[in-house]
Amino acid sequence: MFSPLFWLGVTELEERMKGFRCEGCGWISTVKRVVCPRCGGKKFQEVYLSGECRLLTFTRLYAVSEGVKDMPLTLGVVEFDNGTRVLGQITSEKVSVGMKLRLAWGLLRVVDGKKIYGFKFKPEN
Amino acid sequence: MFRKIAIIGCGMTKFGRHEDKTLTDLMTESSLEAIRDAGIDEKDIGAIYVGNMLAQELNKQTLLATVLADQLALYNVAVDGISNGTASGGSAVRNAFLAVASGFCDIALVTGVEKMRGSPRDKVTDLIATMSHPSEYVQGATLPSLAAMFTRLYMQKYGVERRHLAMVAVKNHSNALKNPYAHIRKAVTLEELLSEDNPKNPVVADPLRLYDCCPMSDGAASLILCSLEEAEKIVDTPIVIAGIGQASDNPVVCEREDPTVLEALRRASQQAFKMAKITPKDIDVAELHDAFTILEIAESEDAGFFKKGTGHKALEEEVTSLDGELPINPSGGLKARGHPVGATGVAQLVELTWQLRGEAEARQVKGAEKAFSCNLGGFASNVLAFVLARGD
Repeated sequence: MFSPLFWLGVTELEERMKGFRCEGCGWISTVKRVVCPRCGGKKFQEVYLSGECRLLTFTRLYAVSEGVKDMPLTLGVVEFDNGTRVLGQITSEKVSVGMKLRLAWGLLRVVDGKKIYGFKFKPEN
Repeated sequence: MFRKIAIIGCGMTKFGRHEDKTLTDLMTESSLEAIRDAGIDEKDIGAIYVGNMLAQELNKQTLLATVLADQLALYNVAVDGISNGTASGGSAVRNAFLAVASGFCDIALVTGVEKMRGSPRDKVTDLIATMSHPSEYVQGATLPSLAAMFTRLYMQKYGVERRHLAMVAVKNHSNALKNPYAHIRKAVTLEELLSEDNPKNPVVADPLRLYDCCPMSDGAASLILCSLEEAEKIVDTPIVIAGIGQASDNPVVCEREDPTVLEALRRASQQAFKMAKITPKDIDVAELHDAFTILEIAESEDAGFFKKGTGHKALEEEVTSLDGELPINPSGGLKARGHPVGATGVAQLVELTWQLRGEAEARQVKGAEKAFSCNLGGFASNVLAFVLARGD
C-alpha cells in the first residue's frame, strides 16, 4: 500500500518500466551498467519510463527460437519521448513504422522450462 | 614491436553437410591439408588454436584443441580453444598471430570448426540468439530478427530495396558455383528471389527471406602461421598478415547512437588499415561477413570501401562483382560458401590466401595483391578485421 509506486500515484506496476539515467549526460538505458557508453559517466539514477512510445522498426519472425509460442512473433524497436530505445514484442496484428504504442505486461517466452514474463508493447487503444 | 607474420599453409574441408564425419574428422582433415600445403612436419608446430562456438551444446564435446593435438601427437605444445561467438575463427587467428609474433613459438596451427547440421533448427537458432543481449534474448530476438529490423531501417534511411538484397545473393551464389568448397552451389536469379510467392524463398523475418540468410553448415578451415623471416625460407609466396583489428560495440543493437552503423567494424578496420599502413583504396579483394545480405552492403561501407549509404549503388554498378573493381566474397561468402560459425573467420583467410597466391582458379581476382576480411561476433558487437598482403 505504501510502496514508492503508491507515492508516485501509480497503481499498476505493469505500466512502469525501469530505466537507468546517466547523471553525466542524461542518457537513459533499460540496461544497468557501471560506465555510461555515451559519456563514460559512472553515476546513474533509477527512473521510470513513460507509458507511451513510437515504433521505429519491426519484423514478423517466422523462424522462432525454442520456447517461443507466437508464430509469427512480431518484434520491434520502440523509442520513448526521452530518446530511450527498447526492443520488444508487439501485440498487434497491424504494425507500421511510426505507430504509437503503450507498455503491457505478459508472458515473453519459456527458457529451460521457466516462464519468463516482461514488458511487451500494445497499440494505443 | 612484433615480428612480421605470414600464412604459409592453408586448408579447408568442403563446407556443407557432413553426416559421416565427426567434429574431430573435420578439424583433422583441414589441419592436415594446411600442414601438407605448408610443406612442414607436424612436429614443427609450436602452438595450436581451435576456434569453435557450439560444440559443447550441439556435439557434447569441449577441449577440441586437445583432441586435435592428440590426433597430431603433439603433447608438448600449448593448445587452446577459442570461443568468441561467430567471431571464434577470427579470434583464434588473432591469438595464433600473437603467439608467433611475440616469439613464443615459430609456427602455429589455427583451425576453426563447427558441426551444425543434424541438430534441430530451432535449437541452433536459439543458441546463436544467445549472442544477443540478455534483455533482447528474453524477448525472443534472434540474429535474423535483428538483421530484419536493421534492414528496414536501412531501407528507410538509404533507399536500399529488396532487389539490392537479392543482388547480393545472386552474386554470391554465382561466385560459389566456381568454388568447389562451397556449401551451396546453385545459381539463383533476381526474378526467382523477387517473386512474392516463391515457395523456395519463404519469409524468415520480413523483409528478409530465406535467400537473404546464410545456411547452417558443417566444416573446418586451417592456417599455418609463421614468422615472415622463416616463412621466406619455407615457401615461395608467403602471405603476410599485415594488419589486424578488433573492437566491440553496444550489444543492445537498438541503443546504438545510429543503429545502421556497424561501429565495431569501423574501429576494427581502421586499426587493421593503420597497422598495415594502407587505406581501403589499396584493397583488391575482400571477404565480408554476409550472414545476411544486408550485412554485405553495410560492411562494404563501414569497412571504408564506400561512403555510408552508397554500398547498394556500388553493388548495382557491379563494382563488387568478380570482375569488378573491388570483388567482394569471391568464395560465395557466408551466403553460399556456408557458415560453420567457428570456421568462418579462418575460411575467409584461406580464400584470401588462395586469391593472393593466384590459386583461386575460376574465381581468381586477377593480380590481387592486398586483401581484407571481417568476421563478426553477434550482431557486429565484436568484430575482427584483417589485412593480408603478398610478401614479395
